[in-house]
Amino acid sequence: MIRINGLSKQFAEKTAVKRVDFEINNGEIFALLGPNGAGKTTTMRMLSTLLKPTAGSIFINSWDTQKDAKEIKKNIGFLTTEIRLDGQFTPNELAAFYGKLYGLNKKTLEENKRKLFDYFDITQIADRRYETFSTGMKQKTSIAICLIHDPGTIIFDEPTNGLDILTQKQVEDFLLSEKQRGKTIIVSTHILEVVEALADRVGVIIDGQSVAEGTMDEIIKGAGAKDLREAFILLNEKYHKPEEVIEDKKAKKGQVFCVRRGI
Amino acid sequence: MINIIQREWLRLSKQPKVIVTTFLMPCVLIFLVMGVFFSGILEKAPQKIAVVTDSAEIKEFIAENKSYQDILIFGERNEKLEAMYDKGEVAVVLEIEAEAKTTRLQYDSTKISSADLLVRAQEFIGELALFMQSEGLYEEFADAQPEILEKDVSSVTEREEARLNLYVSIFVAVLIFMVGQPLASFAIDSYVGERERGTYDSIRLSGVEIFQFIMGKTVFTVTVGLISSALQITTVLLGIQYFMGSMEVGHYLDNTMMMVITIVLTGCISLAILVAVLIYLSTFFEKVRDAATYATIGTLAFTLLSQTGNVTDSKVLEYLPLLNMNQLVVRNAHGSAVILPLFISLVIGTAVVAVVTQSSVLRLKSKEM
Repeated sequence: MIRINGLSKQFAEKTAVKRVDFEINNGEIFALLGPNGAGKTTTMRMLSTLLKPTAGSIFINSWDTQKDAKEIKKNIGFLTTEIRLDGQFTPNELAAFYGKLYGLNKKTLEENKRKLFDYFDITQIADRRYETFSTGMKQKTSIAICLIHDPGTIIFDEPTNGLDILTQKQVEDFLLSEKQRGKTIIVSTHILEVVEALADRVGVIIDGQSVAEGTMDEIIKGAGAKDLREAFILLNEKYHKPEEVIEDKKAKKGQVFCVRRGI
Repeated sequence: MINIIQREWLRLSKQPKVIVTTFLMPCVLIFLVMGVFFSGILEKAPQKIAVVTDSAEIKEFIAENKSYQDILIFGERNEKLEAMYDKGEVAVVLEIEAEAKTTRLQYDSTKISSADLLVRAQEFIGELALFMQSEGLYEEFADAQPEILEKDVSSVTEREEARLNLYVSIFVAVLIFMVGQPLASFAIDSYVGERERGTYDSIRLSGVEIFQFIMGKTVFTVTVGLISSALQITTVLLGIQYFMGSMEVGHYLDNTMMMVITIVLTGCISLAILVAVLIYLSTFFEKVRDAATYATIGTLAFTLLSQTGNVTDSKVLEYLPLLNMNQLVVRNAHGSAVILPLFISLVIGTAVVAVVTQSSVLRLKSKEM
């Protein structure tokens, strides 16, 4: 269970995230949906302990991100476009290095590596430098390396950005298989297809504020829309037109709610 | 921390250009600078040995032996010989009074072009003694040790001294810059480089504490600095051997073990302070290019400032006997007297490194806030 309560982040004069609340159940895929610059990456960085919140709290399996960062780091696999691997190393070297950092023994490391490398077709090129790979191969290698310790929680920020359809499908299938293994997965994206393909539940974030949370059906119904695309557009419009905003911060779990800008 | 150090070595091993610019290029440049340095101070270098003797047998022995064509024979010390010695055309004067069983060896250590000349003079004395014995002449000659009349180096003119100071300052400046510049690059890259490449966060996410990260980088960079320095010092020693003739390096290392230990320990702590400060400064930058520009300017400024005083003040000539394998060891090996200051400087240096490293840790932690 991941609980995000009143999460806020202030950068100098800009408030990137404003009192965001979400709950993510164990073993589900939760999609954090929002337009560019909505605060998704900042939220994800706070989830991964890389960034400290200005206010609010995040609990991952009862560990507080601010107090138990070490435990959390051992138990999450975090991938974001801002985090890259050293291009001069080969996937084998990267796996060995990060495996050691995570404290994996040789046998576990080899098992995890074989499984991930085989799935993502890395095995054949595991001794080639990472910098020589295509965008898709780089992304697949990044995924394999960040999950080398087989964490219980997977936090992926825009994992399918810039990928071709086949690679995108491969990544989506992998996440679904990991869900089958009982992993909790959070995926942030602005691509609706990814949400539709993967998500059990969705959280919508606009301008740093959580404006909706629920299953896809609940989001669509709550917004009075035909599909997720229309719901997303309506939520965005409602957020930017304060006079039409439904102010209901006490909305029950699953219900669509909107908060007024600036609150 | 060990993992970080291992990773850095692996990363370095994959960058041949960096290896060349860090380790190889400085050695080549130092060798070239030494060439200029030595050609400067030795441009009027004498190449001849003069033998002054009243013995007809010795004169005949030299004249008849083709291998002694570089030895000039004089019957007495005359104005011509003194003029040649002053001009530097004659490097070594060997006065042999066979009847009196006296041999005197005179040379000017600042003008001598090659230590081989001294060796050659000594060999000649030995060969002469054998000749004397075989001919039954002056039988006690072989037991006579030459009296060495080394000309006082202070007799070199002030102009020459200033020129030598300049050469040495340039040479030391090149040495400092050659070690300092790559070191600054590594130190700067430690944080801002990793940050720019996007690899810092992935390492932090793998459970590496900021302190471990910085210490790993510091140890790696200091080790690189030490290796680079060692290579360059070796190059200097080999350069001296190449340009000045034979040199018994092993003998001097034996006699200067305390000095070597002192240099290594103070070198380690000095490098650690420098690296810790540079890593701290690098946390104020977002781009490697900006940080590297300032680091290069800083290293250059430090190099120039450190040598500005030397050009006018240093007593370079006091150290020149090293080139002829004389007394640097005696002048610098302070023996036990060096232990206490060394210990104090190590303690203070370690404290400085700890404080600066902790400042870096706090600064990086605040950046994650």
